[in-house]
Formats: sequence, C-alpha cells, structure tokens
Amino acid sequence: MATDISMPQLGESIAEGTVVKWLVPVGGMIEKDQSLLEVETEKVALEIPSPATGVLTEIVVQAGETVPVGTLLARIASTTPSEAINRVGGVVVRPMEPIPEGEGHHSPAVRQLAKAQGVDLSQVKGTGAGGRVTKKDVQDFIAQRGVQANVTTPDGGKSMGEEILPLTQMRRIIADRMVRSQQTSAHVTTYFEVDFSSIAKFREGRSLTYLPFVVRAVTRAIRDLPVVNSAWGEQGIIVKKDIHIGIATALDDGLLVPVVRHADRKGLVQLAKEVADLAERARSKKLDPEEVQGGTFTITNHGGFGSLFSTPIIYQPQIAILGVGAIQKRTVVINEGIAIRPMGYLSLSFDHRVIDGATADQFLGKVKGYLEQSHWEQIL
Amino acid sequence: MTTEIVQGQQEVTYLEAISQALDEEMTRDERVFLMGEDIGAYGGAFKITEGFLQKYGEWRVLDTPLAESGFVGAAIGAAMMGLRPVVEMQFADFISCAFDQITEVAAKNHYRWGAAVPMVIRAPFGGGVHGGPFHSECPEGWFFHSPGLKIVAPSTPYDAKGLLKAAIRDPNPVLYFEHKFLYRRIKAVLPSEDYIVPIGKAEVKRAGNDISVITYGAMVHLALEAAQLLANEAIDVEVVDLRTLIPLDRETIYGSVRKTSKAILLHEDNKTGGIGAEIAALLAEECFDCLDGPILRIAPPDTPVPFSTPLEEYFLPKASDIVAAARRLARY
Repeated sequence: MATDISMPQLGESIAEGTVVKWLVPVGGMIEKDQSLLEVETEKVALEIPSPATGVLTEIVVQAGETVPVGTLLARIASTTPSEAINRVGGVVVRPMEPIPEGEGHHSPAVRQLAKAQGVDLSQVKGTGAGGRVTKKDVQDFIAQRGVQANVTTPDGGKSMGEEILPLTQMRRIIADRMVRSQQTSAHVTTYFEVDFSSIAKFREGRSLTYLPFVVRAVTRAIRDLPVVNSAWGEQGIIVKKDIHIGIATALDDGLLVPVVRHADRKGLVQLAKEVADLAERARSKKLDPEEVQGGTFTITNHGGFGSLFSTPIIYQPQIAILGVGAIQKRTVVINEGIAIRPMGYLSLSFDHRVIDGATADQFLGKVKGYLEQSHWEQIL
Repeated sequence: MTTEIVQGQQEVTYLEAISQALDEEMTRDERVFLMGEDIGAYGGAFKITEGFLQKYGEWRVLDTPLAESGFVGAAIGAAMMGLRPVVEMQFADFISCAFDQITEVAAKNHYRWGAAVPMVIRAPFGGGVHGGPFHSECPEGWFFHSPGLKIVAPSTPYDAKGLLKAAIRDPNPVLYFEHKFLYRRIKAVLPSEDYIVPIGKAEVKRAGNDISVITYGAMVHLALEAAQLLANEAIDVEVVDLRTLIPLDRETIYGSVRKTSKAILLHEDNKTGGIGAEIAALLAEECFDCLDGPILRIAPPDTPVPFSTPLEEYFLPKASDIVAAARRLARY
C-alpha cells in the first residue's frame, strides 16, 4: 500500500510551504513518526514526521521548491498497513482537497458562462486546482473556438494550402448580428410569385429599376398592415408610425443597409434617386452614420446575381425582411391560356413571435397586389 | 483623489487632515463643538485638537472626565437640542463604556420618535502601534450590527478630511473610525476648496481584473502593497476601499466581484462575525452566479491584540498573507 505525502496545512491562511531538506533518500527505509523532511512557511519551520512505515519510493518536490498546500511531495510504499491520512506530530493534517474533475464540480461563474456561450464543458481543458475548469479556461476556449473555426481544416489540422483572411470590423459585426438575429427571432420565410408585366411596361423608355417599385409597394402594404413595421419589446409589440425602409447593399467586403426615410411619402422618381444615391455612397463608404440607422423594414435585392429565392435573416430589432428574386420571363397560365411574363419571387422572412403566417401572407399578398396594379403613372 | 490638486501646496498627514476638517467645520458652523478626554488644554492624546481651545474657547472645546457613557449621553442631548457635537474617544477601545448610549439611545432615537441625533464620535482605532489589548482594538464590528448608526473608516488624508466633514453635516449619529497607524505615516496634498467625501460610497483604489480585495482603513495600504507584488506574477488585483461600512456600497462591491469572479475580504477586526463575514454572505446571496472560487477572508485570529511586538506582528494581517491567498485563488 502506497502513502502519498502532501504539503501539510501548517496554519490558517498559509497557502504554501517550501521543502527545505529531505531527511531520507529515495529508496531509504522510514519508520512511522520518524522525521521525513523539513518544511518552511513564512510563519513556521518544522520537521514533518512520516505518516507510515515503509520505503520512500519517490520524491516529487525537491528541496528548495515552494509549492501550494496539498501538493504531492513524495510517496512511501508501506511495508506494513498504515493509515491513509497524514498525521503530523499527532495533529491530523488536512491537505487541501483536490477538486475532482468532470461534471458537477463547475463553479457558478463557469456554469453561467458556459450556458450563455453554448460551451460543452466536457470539451474544455481545466487548468485550475485539481484540473478544475476555471472561468478563464472557458473564456480562452470561446476565444480559441472562434479562431479555430477560421484557421483549421475539417480534420482539425492546419493546412499549408490555406490562407487566413483577417476578420475586418465589418465582418465581425455582420457575423455577430446575423447569429444574434437567428438566436433572437423565430424565423419563418414565405414566398410569393409576382407578375412584373405592368412594371416592365411602365419602365419602357424610363431609366427606372424594379427596386423603387418594390419599395413603393411595401410601404403601401405596411400602411394596410402596420404590425409588420414593428419591433419586439418586453412590454409589448412596438409598432412604428414612421416607415423607414432599409435597402441591403452588397459591398466588395461586406454589406451595409442604408435607410430611405419616410419612404411612404416619396414618389417613384424620388425613391429611385435616393436608392441609387445611397447605394452609390454605401459602396464608396461615404454614408453618414445616421443614414444606416433607424430602419423599420428591410428589403434585400438578392436577384441581382440571378438568385430566385432566399431566406433572408431579419435585421434586428425589425420583425420582417423582404427578399426580391431575379425577374425572368417565364411561361405562366393566365385564364385558360399560356403566356410569357416577367416573373419574380418575393421571399418574406418574418418573426413568428410577432406575427403569424396568415398576417405575413396577407402582407406579402398585398405587396404582390400593389406590384401587379397598373396605375404607376399616378405615383411617378 | 477626484478633486483637482492645486500645485505647490503643502502635503498634510492623515492626522492633520482630521484636524483641518474639525477646524473648518467649527469655523463654518458655530453649532459644531468638541468633547473628549484631554482635548482642550492638552490638545488631545494625539494632538489633533492642539490650539483649538485657544481658538474656539472653553464652551466649544470641552474637556471631559473619564466617563464615556456620561459624555456621550451629554452629546446626544446636545445634538437633540440642535447642536452638532463631535466626541473624541481617546482610544476606540474605550467606546464600549458608552455602548448603551450609542446603540440604545443615539441609534434608536430617530426610530422611536423621529428625533435626529446629528453627532459624530471619532474613534482612533487599530493596531500596529504596539499599544496592547486596550489601545489597539478594532471595535467597529459591534456597531456594524446595530441599526441606526452610520460608520465610516477612511484610509487616506483626502478621505479622512472629506468623510469627517460629511459626518459632521450628516443628521445621523456617525461613528468615525480613524486609524492610528496612519496618523503620521501617510501624506497627501489636499484641495484648497471645501469638499466632502459622500458617506456610502466605496472607491476602487486600484483597478484589476483577476481578484477583488475588499477592505478598509489601514488594510487598504496593505492590499495595495500586495497588489503591487502580485502584479509581478501577472495576478491583477483590484482593491476596493469601502470607506463607509454602514451603509455599505453594495453596488461597487458587486460590480467589482462580478468583474473578477473572485473575492478576498480583508480587515483588521477579528475574523468571526466581522464585516468580511457580512460581505461574504452578501456575495453568496447576490453574486453567486459570478463566483469562480471560494470567498476568502483575511483577518486576525479571534484573540485580543497582543502587546508583545513579535506577537502583534504575527497577529496582524500582512502583505504576504494577501499574496498567499491571492495565489491560491489565482490557481484555483
């Protein structure tokens, strides 16, 4: 039977001790209660008697080293059965209990942090006393997790055939907002198909894109169903009286959402001008900070590169976002005939906490209705 | 520390800061008067009121007999009649003679019939001056348990002056614990204009991220010394100086521990049932979710303060005790 010799607790508030001298060499015989080593703390110096009779098989802490109370100093292989607890001169010495590894022994701070950040604590290597996972271990793990996601191949090893693109501030912000939005809202996306014939006809001879028409139709639909133009608040749903439409604008290295203020009060020409101006200045990074704030509803025109559908992520704290797909000529059935029409899909992602499918579909139906009407002259 | 310091001004000691506060308040408000043993002709056991008798006369600087219960009772009466007495205990150790007057009368009058008791009791406390068991005590714990009192314990000349002025202007009975060890050992340049340090506001004397050491009085300086040593080991200690014991500035205490997740409570009063015990309980109740290690207390053992110099040195907390405890917490 082996007996572990640990640094004893030699007084209150004493956290460590220094091994001054080993009085028995490794391999030497030792009697129970015979002096085994000299230990010094900042308050006392004394000889520690052996808790057992046997052979000193191993010295872990050499003379001159200072170690915390409870640290394993040496091992004695007993030649006779002995007490497992250490006794020092008749006083029971209580080595600091090592904290067992594994689940169920995490501190409140560690549990709280792991929960908030979705960390599986069994994956975290503990560096604390007895292998305990400390709060800092969890923080380091979270930081490391972020880095690893970027610099390692799926098999976990670094590859020479890779390059690391440093995270720009914008990239970090986008990443953070997108993830947070998905954690915040109950995303559902619904799709409608729209016939853009009347708009296509109206655009002939005019330098207008489809986008201002969509903005116009959206603001009309919001006036019909104001709850879509709202935000979730703990005290209730905050319905916004003003209609400010954000226009997601792709940049070379990211994305910005400049806002057309009071879009419902503007005519098509004005909307077209503002949308073009904002997009231009977003790309040349000349927007003022307030021009990307305060949006109440967002439109993302993902069709520019040919995309038909999308499942856009809501721009918090708004509750809905409209994706506009590519407008292509398709064969459609009209009455009993087949026609060729410029068609496009609208994708509306909405927060199911705030509105239900019926309201969302009603809203998107209204957008479709406004887009397919043919009185564009009147709102030029 | 927060007020701008006028260049070229003379440094004053902690003791002089107390003296200045008394002088300025007596000049500002003629209701303020002093009572205590040997404070008049002799100028006080520590010479804090030297010259006051000549300046303010015997009606405002009253030498009292050795009868703490009697003169604290008289001060309570004067306070209730509209005066602003400042009573000096020659040593805080003697305050127990007036225990009944302080805890049963001064502390409860307002509760019982709404009568304000705007008085201050100055109590020179603490060890490290080889004063033995009757001249070194930290008796704040007894009063900490008594509702109806305010208790302050400054650690710097700036706080000593500002807190004494705030105490004199406060409508409640305030126990002002001034640390004898600091009297002539620390100096600072003080603002020339009138200022107070609000009662109930702790101050972070050193910001850090790893461990909060929460303390007051002379121990603040010990904590700062230990923090300096620990900085060499990359252990970043925050030192919170409570300054006021009642009412405790919970916001600052919780804010610090929520940041560091580890707390050491350090005081010179006995460990059992001390202020550290109360704060430990508050942290367990209010900050449990942020704790990442045991709450540790560093305080002297539950014995009288020894007279023997080596024993007193052993008895009092030392920077090495804080270093050892901080290392243990850092490793935990």
